[in-house]
Amino acid sequence: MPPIRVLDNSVVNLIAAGEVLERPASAVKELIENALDAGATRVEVEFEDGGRRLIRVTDDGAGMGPEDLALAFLPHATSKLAAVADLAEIRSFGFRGEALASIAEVARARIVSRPRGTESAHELEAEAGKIGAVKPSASPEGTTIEAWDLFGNIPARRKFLKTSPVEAAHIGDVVTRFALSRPDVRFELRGDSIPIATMSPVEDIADRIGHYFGKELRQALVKVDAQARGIRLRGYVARPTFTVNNTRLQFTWVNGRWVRDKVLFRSIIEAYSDLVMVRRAPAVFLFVDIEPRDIDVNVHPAKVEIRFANSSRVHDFVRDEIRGRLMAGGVPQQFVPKDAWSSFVQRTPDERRNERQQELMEFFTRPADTPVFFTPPPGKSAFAEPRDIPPGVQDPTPPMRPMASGGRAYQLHDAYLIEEVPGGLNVIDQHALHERILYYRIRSRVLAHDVARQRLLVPSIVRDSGREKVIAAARPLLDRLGFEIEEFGPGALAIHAAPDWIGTKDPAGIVRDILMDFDTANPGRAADDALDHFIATCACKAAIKAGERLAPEEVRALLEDRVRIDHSQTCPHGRPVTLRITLDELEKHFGRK
Amino acid sequence: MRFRCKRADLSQAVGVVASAVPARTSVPILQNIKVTAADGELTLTATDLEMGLRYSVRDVGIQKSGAAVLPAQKLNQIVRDIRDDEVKFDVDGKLCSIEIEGGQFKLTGADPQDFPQFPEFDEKKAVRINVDDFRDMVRKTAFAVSSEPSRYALTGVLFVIRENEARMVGTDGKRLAYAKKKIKGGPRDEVKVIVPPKALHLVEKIIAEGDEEIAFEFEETQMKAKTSAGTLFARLVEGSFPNYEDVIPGDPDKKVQVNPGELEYRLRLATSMTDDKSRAVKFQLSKDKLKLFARRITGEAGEASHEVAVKYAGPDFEISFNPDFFIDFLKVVAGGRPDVADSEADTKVEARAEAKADKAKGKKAAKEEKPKAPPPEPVEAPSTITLDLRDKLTAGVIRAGRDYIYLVMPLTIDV
Ligand SMILES: Nc1ncnc2c1ncn2[C@@H]1O[C@H](COP(=O)(O)OP(=O)(O)O)[C@@H](O)[C@H]1O
Ligand SMILES: [Mg+2]
Repeated sequence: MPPIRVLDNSVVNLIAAGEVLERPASAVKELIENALDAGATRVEVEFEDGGRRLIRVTDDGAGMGPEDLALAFLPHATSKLAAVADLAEIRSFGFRGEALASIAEVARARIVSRPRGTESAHELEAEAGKIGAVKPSASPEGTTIEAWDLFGNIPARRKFLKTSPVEAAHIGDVVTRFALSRPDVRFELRGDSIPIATMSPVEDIADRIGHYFGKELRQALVKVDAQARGIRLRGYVARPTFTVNNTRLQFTWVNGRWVRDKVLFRSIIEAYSDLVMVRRAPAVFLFVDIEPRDIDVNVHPAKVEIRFANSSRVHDFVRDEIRGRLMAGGVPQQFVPKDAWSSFVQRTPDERRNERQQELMEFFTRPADTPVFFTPPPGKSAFAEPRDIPPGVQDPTPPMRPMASGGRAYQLHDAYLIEEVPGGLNVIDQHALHERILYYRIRSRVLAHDVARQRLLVPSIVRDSGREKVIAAARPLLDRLGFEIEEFGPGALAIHAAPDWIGTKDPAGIVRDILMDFDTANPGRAADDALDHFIATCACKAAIKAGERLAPEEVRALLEDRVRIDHSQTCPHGRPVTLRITLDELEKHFGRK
Repeated sequence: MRFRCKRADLSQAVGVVASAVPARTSVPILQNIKVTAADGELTLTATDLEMGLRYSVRDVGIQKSGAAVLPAQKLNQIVRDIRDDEVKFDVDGKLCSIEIEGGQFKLTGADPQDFPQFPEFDEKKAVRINVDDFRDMVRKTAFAVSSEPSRYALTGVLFVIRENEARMVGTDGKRLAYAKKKIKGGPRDEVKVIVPPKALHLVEKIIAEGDEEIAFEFEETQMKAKTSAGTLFARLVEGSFPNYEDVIPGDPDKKVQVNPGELEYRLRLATSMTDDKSRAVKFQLSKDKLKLFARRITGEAGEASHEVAVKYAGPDFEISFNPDFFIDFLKVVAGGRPDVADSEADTKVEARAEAKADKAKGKKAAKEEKPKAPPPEPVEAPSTITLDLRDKLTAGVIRAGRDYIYLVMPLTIDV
C-alpha cells in the first residue's frame, strides 16, 4: 500500500474546482453571480465554442481595486463572509470564495476591473493555479472576467463535455434563469460573436417570460404574491389551460437563487392536480423568500439544491397559495364551490401518490446533463413514439380487413377503437392509426411537391431565443413541409402560411414542437432521412391524441381512411397499430371450444 | 320543499339549464341542477363554473318553499319520459320524491349549501340589445372561431358594443367573419370583450317567446345576460384579439359579383373532388366567368371543373381557397347555420337524455317535446354577394350587404 500523503495543494484545488465547475455553464453561472453580487445593472455574457474556448462576463458593478484584485484568485478569498456567524445570514450569491480560484485552476483566467467612480483600471492573469501580478490596464467602470480554454489542463473532464451546441444551450439556460429572476438587470448573450439574446430591463418578469416563451404563456399568467409566517411567495403561475409536455417551464428561485427542489416541485404538482391533464406540466415562475437562517444553501457545491428547515410548512404554503390563485383566477370569485378543493382531496391517496411519484420520477431522472430547453425528457409518455425502432420495420400483424358491410366500431377510454371484423375483432390505437394515415398522406404530398399552404390572416409568432442555429438548420425542412416562415428578430419566427394538412391545429404549436424535436434528430443524417423523420414527427404532432373523444362519425372516417394506406409501405415508427383478436381465441378463452 | 307544476314547463326549463351542466367534471356536485321554490316561482340553476344558467318557471303551486340539488341527467330524463300533465315534487333534506299518477320516483340529491352561488345581475349596469340583432350576429360570426384551445383569444367571439352600434367578430386565423348592427342607445364607453361561443349559444337558449331585448352586464372577467326567464353568466376569454379592421385589405382591383346559392352549389360539386384533408379549389376568373377547379391525386383520383356565371370585368386571375371556408359563409348567407365544431361536448347531458327519451317514446313524441323557444326570423338571402380580390397572397373579401364582411385567406400551392 502506498504511504498516506497530504495532498499537494494544487491537487486539492483541482478536485474542489471540479466540484464547483462541472461544465462551461457552471463558470458562467458563478461569474454572473459575482457580477450581480457586485451590484451590476448590466451583464454581458460571451462565449466561443460552447464555452470551451472562451467565456467572458462583463459587468458595470462595483469593481475591484488593485488590492482586492490581488486576492481575487486565492482560494477562500471572499469579501462576502467575514465569520461563521455570517453563514446564517447569507444574502449574496457567493460566500465561499471558491469560484474564481477554481476558474484560475482549470483555465487561463483574466480579470480587468475598474472600481466605480475611479479613473484607473487594473488587470490580473492566472493559469493552472499560478497567479500573475496585478498590472495597470484600461477599461470602463466595472469588471470583465475571462476564462480561456476551460478544462484544457484536465483532458478527462474536457472529454466529458458534450458537443458545443449542447454546452451552448446549457449556457443559454443559465442566462435565462438569471434574466427571469432579475428583470431590472440588462442581460446580453453572444455566442461565437452572434448576438443570441438581449434583454433590456423591464418592470415585471412577466415581460421577460413573454419574451422568452411567447405571448400565449404571458397571457396565461396569474400573479402570485403572498406572505405568511416568514415565507414570501412571489411570481407567476400559468393557468391550467397552458401546459407543456415536461417540466421545463417550472422555475423556482429561493432567495433569488435558482434551485431545483423536491419540496417546491411537489407543491406545484399538488396545486395543479386535477387541473391539468396527466402527462402535461404547467408553467410556473416562483420566487420564495425566506429568512436565510431557515434554509441551508450549503448542501450542493453549485448551490442548486437547498434544504428548508421546515419543509412541510413551505410545501403547504406554496401549494395552497398556488391553488388559491388558480381557483380565484380560473373561475369567478364568488363562484368557487366549497368542494373544488376537496375534489383534489377526494382522489384516493393511492391515485395521487402514483401520479405524483411518476411526475417526480420524470423530473429527477432527467439526466442532469440534459439541458432543459434542448431536449424533451426521454419519451415516457404513453403516446411518445419509440424512436429507436429503426424505420423500415413492418407492422407485425397486418390488421384484418374490415367487414364488407361495415362492422360495428366503438371508441373506448378515449384512446382505442374496437372494430368488428369477419372472424374476430380489431383493437386499434387511435393515435397510432391516425399518425400513420397522416404520415403517408403528408409524405406522398411532400414528395410530389403538392403541398397547399394555407395563408394566415395575422402571422403566428414563435419565439425560441438562444436557438437561432436550430431555427436556421430547420428552416429548409419546415419550408418543404409547407410552412412559410420568416425571421422575426433574433430567436423569433413569423409563420405566414402553414401546410393545410395540419387542419385546425395551431401552426405555432406545431412549429415549436418540431423545433424542440429537431435537436434530437441526428444532424448527420442525410437530408431525405431527416425529412422523413420530420414528417413522422409532424404526423405525430398533428394526429389525434390518446384522450381525445371522437364522435361516431369521426371513428368511422378514421377507419375508412385506413383503407387508403398502402400496407406494403413501411410504417413510420414500427409501432403496432392494431391488435387482432380472433373468434377462435375468444371461444377458447371462454371454454366454448 | 314541496311543489306541483306543469310537466311541459318543467321539462323545457330542465332542458335549458341542462346545457350548462358539464359532461365531465372533477367536481361532482356540478352534475346536478339546483332547484329553488319560492314566491310561486321555480328557479333552476346549473353551472360548470366557466359559465352558468338560471331559468325560472312561473305559476307553480308551492306548498312549501325550499331548495334541492338533483342529478341533472336523471331529472332531465324523468321529466321527459313521463306523460302526466302535472308532477309533484316533495323534497326532504337530500331525498326527493317525484310523484305522478300511479307511481313515484325517489332521487337522492346533494346539499344545496354546497352548490355554487349564482352571481346577481345588476340592472343598473345593463346594456340592452335587440333579440333578433343578437341572434343574427351570433349566427354570422360564431361559426368562424378557432376550435384549437391553444389559440385562446381566437376561441372566442369578439363582442363590441358602443353608442348606436354593436359588432361581433369571429376568426380562426385563416378566415374572419365580421357582422355589425345599428342599435338604439348603447354604452358611452365602448365595451369590447371576447366571449366563448358556447356562452352566446346559451344566451340564445334563455330567450323566451315575447322577449324583445337581452340585457347584458359586463365585468372585467365575466359577462352576464338576462332575459325575461333566464340569466347567464360566463367567464370571458382573456387575451388579445387581432385588430380585425386592420386585416381587411384595401384597394382590391378585382371585383366579382356572384349569386351565393349558385356559388355554393358549384363549390359543393367541386369539393367532391378535393383531397379529404387537403381541400383546395382553384378559382379561375375571366370576363364574367368563374371557373372552379379541383383535383384529387390520392385515393380515388379524379378532377372536377365547374363554371359559375358572375359579373367580372377585371384581368384574368387565378387563386385557390379552401372551399369549406366559403361554404360555411354561404350557408349563413342562405339563412342557415354552419356546423360548429362541438369542442367541449357541451350539450352532451341533454343530448343523451334526449336520445333516451327518443327511444322511450318513439321519435315522433320526442319531436313534439322540443322546447318551444321561438324560431329565429327567416332570413332573406341576398341575390348577389361581392368577392374582392387583390393578389394571390391577400385575403379575399366577401360582402353580403353592408353589415356582413367575411375574409378568407388563400391557399398557395407549390408546383
Ligand atoms: N464581478 C466582480 N465585481 C466585483 N468584485 C468581484 C467580482 N467577481 C469577484 N469579485 C470579488 O472576488 C471575490 C471572490 O469571488 P468568488 O471566488 O466568486 O467568491 P465569492 O463570490 O464566493 O465571494 C468576491 O468575494 C468579490 O469580492
Ligand atoms: Mg462568487
